[in-house]
Formats: sequence, structure tokens, C-alpha cells
Amino acid sequence: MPTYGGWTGKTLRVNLSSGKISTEDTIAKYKDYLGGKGVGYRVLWDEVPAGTKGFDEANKIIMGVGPLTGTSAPSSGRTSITTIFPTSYPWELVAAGHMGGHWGAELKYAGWDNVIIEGKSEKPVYIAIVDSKVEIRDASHLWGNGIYRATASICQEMGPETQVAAIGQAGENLVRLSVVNNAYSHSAGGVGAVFGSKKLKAVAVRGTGAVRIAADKQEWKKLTRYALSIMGANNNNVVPSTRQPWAEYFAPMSRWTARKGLYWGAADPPVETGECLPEDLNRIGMRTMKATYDMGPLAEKYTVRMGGCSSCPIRCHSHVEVPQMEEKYGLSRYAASTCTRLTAGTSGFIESYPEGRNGLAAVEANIVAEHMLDDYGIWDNYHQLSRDFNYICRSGLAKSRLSADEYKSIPWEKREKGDPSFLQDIYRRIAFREGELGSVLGEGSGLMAKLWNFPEAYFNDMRVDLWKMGHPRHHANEEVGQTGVLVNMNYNANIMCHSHRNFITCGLPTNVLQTLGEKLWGPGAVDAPRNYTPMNEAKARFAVWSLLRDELHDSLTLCNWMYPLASSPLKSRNYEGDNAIESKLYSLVTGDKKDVAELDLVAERIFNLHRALTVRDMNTSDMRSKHDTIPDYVFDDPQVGFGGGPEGRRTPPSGPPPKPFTPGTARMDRADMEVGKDMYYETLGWDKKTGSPTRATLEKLGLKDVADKLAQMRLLPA
Amino acid sequence: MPESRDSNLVERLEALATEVRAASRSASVVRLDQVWTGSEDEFPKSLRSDGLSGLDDIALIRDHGQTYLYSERHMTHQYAEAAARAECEDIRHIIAETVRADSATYPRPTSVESFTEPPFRVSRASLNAAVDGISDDPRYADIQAVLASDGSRFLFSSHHMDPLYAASLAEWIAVGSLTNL
Amino acid sequence: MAKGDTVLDRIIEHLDLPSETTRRGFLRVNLRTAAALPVLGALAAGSTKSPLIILDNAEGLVVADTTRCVGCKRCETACTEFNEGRAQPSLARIKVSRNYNFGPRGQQAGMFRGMGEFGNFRVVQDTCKQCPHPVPCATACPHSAIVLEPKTKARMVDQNKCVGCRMCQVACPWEMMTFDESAGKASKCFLCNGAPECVQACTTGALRYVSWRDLSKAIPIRRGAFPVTRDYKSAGCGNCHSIGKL
Repeated sequence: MPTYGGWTGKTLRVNLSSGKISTEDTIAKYKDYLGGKGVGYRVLWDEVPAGTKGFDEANKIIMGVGPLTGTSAPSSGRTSITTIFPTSYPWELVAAGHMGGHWGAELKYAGWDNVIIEGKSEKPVYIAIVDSKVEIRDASHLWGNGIYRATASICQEMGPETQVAAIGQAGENLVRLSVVNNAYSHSAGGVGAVFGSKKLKAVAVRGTGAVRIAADKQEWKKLTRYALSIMGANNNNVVPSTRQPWAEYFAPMSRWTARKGLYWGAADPPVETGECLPEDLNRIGMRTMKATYDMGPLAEKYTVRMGGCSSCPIRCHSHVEVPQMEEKYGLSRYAASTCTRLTAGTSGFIESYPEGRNGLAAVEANIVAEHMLDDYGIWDNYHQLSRDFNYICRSGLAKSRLSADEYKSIPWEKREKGDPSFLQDIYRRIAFREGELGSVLGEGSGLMAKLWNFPEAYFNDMRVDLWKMGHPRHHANEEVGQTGVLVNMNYNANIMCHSHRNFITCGLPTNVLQTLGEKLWGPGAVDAPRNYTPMNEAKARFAVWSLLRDELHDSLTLCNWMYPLASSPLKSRNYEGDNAIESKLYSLVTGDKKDVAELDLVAERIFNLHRALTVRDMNTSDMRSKHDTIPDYVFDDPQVGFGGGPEGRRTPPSGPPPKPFTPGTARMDRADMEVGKDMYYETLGWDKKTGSPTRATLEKLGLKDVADKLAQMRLLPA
Repeated sequence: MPESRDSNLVERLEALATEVRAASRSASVVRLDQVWTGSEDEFPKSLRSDGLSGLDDIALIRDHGQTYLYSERHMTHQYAEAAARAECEDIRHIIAETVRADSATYPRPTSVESFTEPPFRVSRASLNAAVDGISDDPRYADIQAVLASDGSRFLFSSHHMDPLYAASLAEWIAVGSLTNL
Repeated sequence: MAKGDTVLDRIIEHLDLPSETTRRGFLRVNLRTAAALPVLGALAAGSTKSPLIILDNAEGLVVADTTRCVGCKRCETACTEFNEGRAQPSLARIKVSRNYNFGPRGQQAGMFRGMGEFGNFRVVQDTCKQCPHPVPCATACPHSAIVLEPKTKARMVDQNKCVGCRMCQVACPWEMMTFDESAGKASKCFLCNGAPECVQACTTGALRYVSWRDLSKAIPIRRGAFPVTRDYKSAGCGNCHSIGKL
């Protein structure tokens, strides 16, 4: 048996019912699935019966990293947490939460590739991993505490270098919309309550070991520097957000926000982000100043620094110091996060703030919300939680569904005034399931809609922005046309795929993107923004590529907000990235040489296993009509393409609503999307009628046992 | 003009190049007639010839009847175009050419606010005066305005996009993309 | 000065120096001409061992700007991946992970009031000071296994001489010695032949490689050092310092 670099070779299994702790051979059992989600799906297929629900004892949690995690492969600090999701509605199905931070790397240094958690504890416990020593420890003193205190307490027991992945009160209270969080600001959505259902408060790791690099160390160094040289900024945006002398192009919405005169204003003394030439590998970490991107210009003076995950050169987590948090809200002045977890205050819980979404009250509200989410451990679900609350307010459902007493107990006047402390009340109710409102909001959109008997209109309201099965639209047609729709169709929970979107919005002009896209997927894959053309095979290949790479990244692990590196900031390369970079990193770290096609085949295996699990657990092979659904607003809303947000959408300047495939709209066409599905299934080798994997495809991917089982259940397409 | 092997000329050009490079590093272009005392015709047609090795990063760019120099080592052609344009007294010229370039290149409408930033640095008062009624000037009839729902103004060139399209892109940039993290 | 009969005098005699050289003059000259005095101890103690006493300063130093550290830890993985061929922060000779959560003083108060990711966000990068004489780790080593790297004069563990006793680990006041468990040898920052890997890897330019200067008195220590040295070494100290009769 060849020994590989990268993997430690050991997978940990912890049974919380029996207390048994055992070790498995990662290479023998799971090498063909890499790690992360790949291993997660395999374990769920092999060991968790069809129809198991999220809170059932039979459900398992697979915290997985991969061969690249812990190395200096750039942006390899991710952990996937695969399980049956309690927020997936009406069928609770396989999905994964993902978290960055430092926990994943630490697990590798402790000598483990994955942690499989099964069974259920009677009493609150946490799993303590110190290198090869693993213990299930009493957590009754931690239960009832938020993530912050639980983390601090565990570090006192295990040492200040410990990396702790913990749930807050939300997870403990089986609030379906809850997370697991590590390293202050890094959370995996949707899985917190599964931990809670097993009375598992945390998994804490200390590791002093090593991850071996199979390749010659000079060759490895050369490759890592090469990878760094072709990376852009956050979301692999490859042009700056302002005109800068060194750049040919710029894009206002680019996350390469560094420029002269923009500072980490609360650094000691302030640090200028400045001009970051792409060739300067000692300034990559300065490129993305995200605090002002997320919260507006006022955030500059609050920014201490940027930060993020282990090994990543792109620091996308804003670290701010906002002194008034202590006096005004009783919260720490130190807050960190990014994207939706730094904008939850301005995403719908409160309609508007004095001085608008970039004013001081709004900034404070975002910090309040961040602390609530990261300490209680509530899952914002890409702002779906905020939008749902906004919906029940404006639709009158809050008033009609709540008892008079409960309705009165809610500090509505704070909401009217745009007082951020309103958020402390609402999030507390959710974390502790207080009253009808607190309970129902935390159930997730799918179940909440059922419990409160939401009207049909809810599911198509663009201000609600739901996609299906209880989760929101996430980078669909509004930016990536049919490709985005195909990507959004595929998952059972929050669609955490950025491959397609990163490429389209990297900031390069359309003609450059089209040249790059043609090389990757064939002519016609890329449309001009908001100017879509009918479906074609290249778009289907673009969608498949996006999804397969996402699965690959969550198994290797690599960050899907940076990879794939389809474009680069280098004019000398005509802005081309390197489509084979993942396979190069994989080959050198593990010593298992795979070229781009071979590694994509592994990704295809992993993706097909996800599909097979979905088929099995929905007990139907008709994915096409039952699972791969598209909300009507994608086709019908005349204003799709006119942006807007919770404030609503403005009407187009004049004339009738724009038809699909005319400039200015992101509206899709139903017949065209059916063609899209056809082409998509065909590209994957799935049955066109049902969208279900065929025996031939499964066997090609080494999943004959899966095909046999599906056949037995009569779930293979004819 | 013969190919430059005249050592005096080479010396003058090297000094000029040093100045141009320094300016480019500070994001500025240099007007030819401010560093070259001869006529423009006497300036070497190309700085890439035999006797001028080491100067091939110095490039020329013309805008509003003037010639400017920049170093390709420190500045891209696109930025040099914008920087040269920014030297023009006629703000409407600056606006129009920039908007046309953005509308053609990406395509994308240009936010009015962006003209207050480098390399243009136009004051808000001058900007508003220039933008109001810009399309009334026959030279700039294609430069049209569109408003996003947050009140921010964008300009586009009708040579490259129609109003509906421009409006949708402007709305997305100003408002839609903010909640599409 | 009268010609004496100490070891030092005999060495002065041995070298070709001006006859009026004083002891201090000798030491000053010595710092420029001879990095170390391997012979002192042997001559003094009459033993067969020759302890190394490092006198020369290093040429360079890695310095860290804590306000620019963004906690990516690429410095740590670069240190071991490009030297040992594996990623192992516990072996890294620049140290960030240990300060990451709560800062250099560890966890003294829950959260929020200290340093680190769970405090004021300040991440402190611990770097080897390449100490001037007396070099604590080198002095503690019973086998004189900590030597001068020829190019940079970094204090470096000679892997052939190290027996893995760990005396150096308890001697360093900043806990900068690491120990390679798999090899059974100590290790420390040796400045990577003048191009430190950590400096190359730093994503914000927070680390720089600069001319050496004495930071050993400027940077707070992490632990009370436990200085250990062998008799013949401390006897060697007497060749320059007046320690009286032992």
C-alpha cells in the first residue's frame, strides 16, 4: 500500500451512545472520496438508513477535511460538516455546512482526516482531541452558554492554542437554523441543532503533528508561489474596484478594494491598504478591505485589520473595534465576520435606519447582529431569516398569528425607530425558542411556512427570495443566467457554490470572459451582463464545471470563494488562470498524480453520490420534476434584472416589462430552461427524463454498489 | 529625422524617461511639450529603436490635441488614456470619453460620483454643472443619464447601450448587488 | 600591561596583535576576527572538551509588525514545508499559532480583554532574537551543538551534534526553541541562508528581514528561563569575566 502525503491516514469515529472511540484507515476506506463532503456522503450512504431525519439518533455528523488541509496550499483551511439537514423541507436530506477558521488545519496536525460522530449522548458532552488522545468529556458546565463562553472555557481546560468548534444556545435548543462556529467568526450553517440533538456541545482539537508533503520541497514551494501568483482578491475578483495605474480594468463591485487613502483605520497606528500590485506576493493579504465593502465608508475607522482562515492569503473577515458596543448594547467592542454575517442588521429585521444602510445606526446594527449570530449560534441562512421576519411583519402575519400578549411583548417601537437593540430581543427569542415567534422563526422557511400557513404568494415573492426546500436563491440567474439556475437547482439546502459567480463577476470585460470561457467550456458559455442568450451546451458545461469543482473543493479542502482559478489578475497571461491548479496541488501534496480530468472524475463521483443519496432519501428517481424546481419569479417577475433588495425593486424606465433574452433583464424562459435541464443532465450522463444518475454513469464512477442498491429500491431510471 | 544615435539626444531622452517614470509611479502622465523643447515632429517616432535601448517602456498617448508620455512599466495604456483625458480643461470631454470607453468595454454605465476620484478628481460642483444638459451639446448627444433607486446617477453612451439596459445595470451596481453578497 | 599567564594572555600571544593590547582591546578585536573561542574552555579546564562560546552577532534578524499580522499562518507552514518538507506549526521556528487565540500571555481572562483573535485582535509573531552574547540556548547546550550558520551567523542547531537533551528549550526566555519529535533533535530559526521563508511567505509584509540589532532587551520574555550549563562551560566564562576561583 503506497503511502501518500496530505492525508494523515486516520479517521476518527466517536460513538456518543456507547462512548466507543475508534480509528479507521482513511486511505483504505475513503481515498476515492478524498475527504470533506466526499467522505460525508459515503458514510451517509453506507451507514445512515434512507429516510433518517436530522434529529434522529441514526443521523451521523461527518466533520471532514482533506489531504490539502493544513498545508500551505493557498486557501485550504476549510472544514465540511456533512449530515442530514434539519432545515431541508419537506424531506430532510443530505447537505453540508462549511466553516473556515483554524479548526480544520488543527485536526490534521492532531493526526486526523475526518471525525465521524454517531449515536447520541444522554448528557451534554464535548469531544476533546489532543493529538491521538481522544476523550468524550462532560459538558454540563458548558451547556446553556453561548459559543464565546464555551470556547473560552474549553481553552482553559485544554490550553489556549485549542481550536474549538462549538454550538451556542440555538443548537442546544434544537433551533433548526443554527450553526457550529470556530475561531470567533467562522461558522458552518445548518448543522448546529444536529450537534444539539446529540447533546454534543463542541469538538475541540489540539494538534502538534505534521502533514507530509509528498513532493520535493522546492517543487512544492514553486507550485504554491505559482498558485499565489495567479490568485486575485476575495471571490477571485481579479481587477481593483477603482481605476489604478497598474490595472487595465476595474469594477466598482470588485472586492479588490485596496487603494491609496483607504485604511485599516483602527490599527495602531492605521495601516494603509494602498496599491497592491498583482506581482507583489507580500501584499496579497491587503487586497480585500471588506469592512467598508460590507458596511460602507463609516466602517473604515473601526477596522483593526482583516483576517480569515488558516493558509489563506486573502483575508476576507473584517475585524472591527466599535467602542460604543459596550455602553449601548452590552456587547464586546470587538467583532469579526464577513458578507451576510456582517450585514444581517441591514437585511430585513429592521426596515430602515436613520441615515440609511451605511449610517452609524446601520453599522451598529450589523455588529449587534453579528454578535447575536456568532454567540447564540443562529444560522442566518443567507439572510433568509431576516427576509422571512420582514415578510411576516409586512404581510400582517405576525399580528394575526401571534397572541395579543406575545405581539405586545415585542418592542416594535424600537423597530420603527431603527434601534439596533431590537435585534437583541429578536435573536434571543429565536435562540431560546421564546414564544410562538421565537419557535417558528428558528424552524426555517419551509417548516415555518407550513406552521403558519403562508399563502402561495410567499414562495414567489422576490423580496422573500426563496428558491426551494426552505432555502434561498444564491447566485442564480440575476448574475449568471441559465448556468446560475442550473447550479441552484441541485442542492438540498443553502446553495454554497460560487464557482460560476466568481468567474462572471471577477471584473474583466465581457469579451475577455468570453475568450476565457470558450477555452474552458466552448463558445457561448458567457453572456454579457443582464443580456442573456438562449441555452447552449457550453452553458451546461459551465454549470457542471461549477458544481463539480464546488464538490471537489469541499472535499480537498479548498475555498470555493477563491477557487477555481479560472481567471487571474495578470495581463501577461491574458488574464487566464489555471484550470488545472487543483489537480497540481493535489498531485504534489499527496504524491497521487492526477491530471485535471482525473481529479474532475473524482469530483463527479462525489457529486453523483450526493445525487444518489437525494434520490434514495426522497424515494423517487424523478429529480427533474420533484427536486430540480425553479421558482416562478425567475420567469415571471418583470422586474428581475432591476436589482433592488429588501427595499423593493424599482420599475423599469418605460415601456412593457422586458422579455427574456433582451438587454436589461435577468428573466429566464421556461422552455429554454427545460432545454437547459436536458443539456445539463446529458453532460452529466444522467437520464434526461428524470435527471437521475444512470447505472452506466454510476459504474463509470466506481459506484456500482450504489447503482445496485438504487436498482433494488427501483430508483434507477429505466 | 534619422534614427537616434546622437548621444546628446539619447541623454536628453534618458533624463526625460526618468521623469516620466517617476510621474507614472505617482499615477500621472507628462505633457510632451513640457519636457521636450523641440517640436513634436522632432521627438523620436518610436522609443523602441536601436540606439534607444532601455527606453522602450516610454509610450505616447494623445488626447484633446495634446501628447502625453507615460511609462508602461508603471502604468497601463487604459489608465494613461484616462490620466491624459483628465488633463483636459473641458470636463464634458473627460466625462464623455470615459463614459464611451466604459460603455464599450465592459459594458457598464459610469457612476457620476466616480469622476471625483483619481485620475479625474473633478469637484462636485463642476461635475454637476458639466453633467446637467451634457447631451444637449451635439458633440455629446450620446451621453445620457440614468438614475438608480437610491438616487445615484449614472451615465452611459447610447452608441453602446440602450436606456433600459443601462438602467438595469446601474440599478444592479448601485442597489441590487449590495444585497447579493 | 604586564604579560600575564592566563589563557587569554596565551591566546593574545598566539595571535598577531599589537603588544599593548588590553583585555578589552582583545575582545573588541576578537569580535571582528574570530566568531567564537573554541579553545578557551579546553585550555582553562585542561579537559578534552572545547565548549563553543558565541561572541559574534548575527548579520540579520526577522522582525515582525504585529499590527499587520492577519493570522494566515503561512509563515509557520513555510518554515517547515520548505525546510523539512512537511507542514507542522508546532515545529515552526517562527511562532504565531500559540499566540493566535489569546495573545502571548495566554488565557488570563475569558475573552475580549486580552490580545489575539479572542481579544483585541492583535496577533503577535514570535521571532528568534538571534541573541547577542551570551546566547542562552547555545550556552545551555552541553555539546556545543548550537553553532553559527556561516552565511548569516544565525544561531543554528547542528543536527549532527544535537543529542536531543532539550536543555536549550528551557534556557530560551522566549520559548523559541522547537523540538523535532520524529528526529529527536532540537531546532531553531537559522534564517534560511539569508532569505527567510517566513518573510517570503508573509501575505501582508508584516515580517521583514533586517540588519541585526539587539532586541533581546526590548521584547518581553515568555517564561523565566532555567539556565543550565556545564561546569567546563561556566569555567570558560572566567576567561573573560572575573568570576573568581571556582
